[in-house]
Amino acid sequence: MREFIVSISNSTVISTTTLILLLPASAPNPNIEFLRFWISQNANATSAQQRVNLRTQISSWPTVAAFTPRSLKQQDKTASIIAGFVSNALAGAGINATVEGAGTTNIIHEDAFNVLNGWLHVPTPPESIVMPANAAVTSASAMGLEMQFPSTPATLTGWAWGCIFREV
Amino acid sequence: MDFRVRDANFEPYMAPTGPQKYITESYVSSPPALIIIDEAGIVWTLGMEFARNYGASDPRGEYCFEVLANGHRTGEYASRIERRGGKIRIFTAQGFKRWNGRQFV
Repeated sequence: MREFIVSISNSTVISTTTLILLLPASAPNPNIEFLRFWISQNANATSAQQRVNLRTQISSWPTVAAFTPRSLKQQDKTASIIAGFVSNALAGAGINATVEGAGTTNIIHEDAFNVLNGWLHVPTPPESIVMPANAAVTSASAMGLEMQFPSTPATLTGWAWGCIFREV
Repeated sequence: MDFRVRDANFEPYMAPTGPQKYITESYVSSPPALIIIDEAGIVWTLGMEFARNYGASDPRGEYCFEVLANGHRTGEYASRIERRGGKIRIFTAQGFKRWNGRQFV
């Protein structure tokens, strides 16, 4: 299986931020199965809880910094079908939103963690999230997956986060 | 145990980022925690790649990954890292193993 990473370290978030946006390509391109999500921080040595959501969003997405996924396996030299996100174009990945999207969202996983310990979500096979290839080439009905802070962190600096996905 | 090989998918959170600030409380498990830090300041994490890619067996059907110490490979494959009673232990296909300060036994 071809697996890829989206990750960032030592980054500053603005508030209730979408940390990752991943928008699958249109069919017949591969579906995207998410294998792992994580969040960590290095700026706050004080125990504090932080909420996190995994959610879907349709048609209008956040303004994010484009991020080209890199291969998890060093031997895999072929780029992912997912490239850096460009405004409302499918098959894109982006991080650390500066403006949230207006599209309808649907929370599919909600959790909270202690910032000292970080958060690692490894869904076992029946629970893994599969985002099907989008049916339309246009963005109107397309759906992306996001990892998001629904509440503002106590400390905004020093965050690291990422996800691993595979094309299935 | 001599940790010399850094994992190919090393991320900065896998290693200490400065002077040690805290020791992970007892009964914390990864996952859902991302990191576990022991008294020696070692940051324990699970590697990125599935252990089955390296020929290791998954314990009881759980996904398992290589155990990393400060981002370096340990040669141990586990689905969980836990801190219990001041000790680090991992859940492997052979059952629980405990860190004795030098190796997992």
